[in-house]
Amino acid sequence: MNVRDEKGQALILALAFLMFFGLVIGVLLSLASSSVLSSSQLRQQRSTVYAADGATDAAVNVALKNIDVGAYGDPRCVGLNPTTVGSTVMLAATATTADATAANVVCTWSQDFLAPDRTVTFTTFVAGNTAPIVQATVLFHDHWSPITAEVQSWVYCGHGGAC
Amino acid sequence: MRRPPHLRGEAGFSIAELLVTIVLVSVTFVAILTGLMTTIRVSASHRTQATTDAVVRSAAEWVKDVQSNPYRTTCNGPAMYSLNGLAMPAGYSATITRVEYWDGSAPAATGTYNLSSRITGSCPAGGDKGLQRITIVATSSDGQATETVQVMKRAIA
Repeated sequence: MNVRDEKGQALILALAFLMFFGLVIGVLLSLASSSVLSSSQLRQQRSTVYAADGATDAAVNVALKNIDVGAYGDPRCVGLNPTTVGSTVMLAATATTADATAANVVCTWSQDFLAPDRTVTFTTFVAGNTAPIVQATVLFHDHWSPITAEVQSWVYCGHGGAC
Repeated sequence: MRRPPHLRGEAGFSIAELLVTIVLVSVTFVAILTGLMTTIRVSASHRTQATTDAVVRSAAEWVKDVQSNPYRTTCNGPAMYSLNGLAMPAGYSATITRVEYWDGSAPAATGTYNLSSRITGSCPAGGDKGLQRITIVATSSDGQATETVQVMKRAIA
């Protein structure tokens, strides 16, 4: 084997060496950045859930204290459960989480205008999400004294917004 | 000294080549070590944050739970609720720092009810209206992570 044929091999070896360790460092740093991203996602998910829960709780309480909220044909509510937030919003809140996450609650009015009680569905949307986060159906016993709220379902909607 | 004939043409690396190699290997080694240290440090910080997040969520659920913390209407701030009995990992703590109150104002006949302007720091006239905002802070003892949550607590009626 002729030694002259090995001329320039050192450059190739050096480049391969640099590329390999460059990749190793890149992988290490991307591992670190994924940890940071994961922390941030965890915090955002917490805010979303607490904002939705808090706004829904507030809406239930407002409807409990005000008998006309969610009654048949109430203009603050809609006729059918919404899949996206529209112009009719019963309650808006930016005050239910420490980072002021905005939540909007849309109510669906009682379907039976003859019933003595109200069955109201509250669908809550949180800023940054087009699909609903929480949907709660509450039966308000309006003919009881004092009026009571019975939560019939409290559902966390899936990623596709199915509640 | 004269070299034996069979060693001629097999000269070793020059000092310059050796120096370049040493520098290159050192730089690479330092870069890898730094990357590794960063990863370890960020990972430890993430673990602390994730644990603090878990602690603050547990505390929030503990405060909301009607069994461990029934709804109080006495309007005396954080003293109304307690985190006693809540298991927390060593090196972490949580405290209830603030309780605020819904003022009970009625919604208009149409339009959106803006809750944010209806939460006050003082007890509303006529007493508690059945809805409170509670602030909970969790911290790690090494001071690396602090997480704050606010939860709404509703009187079950």
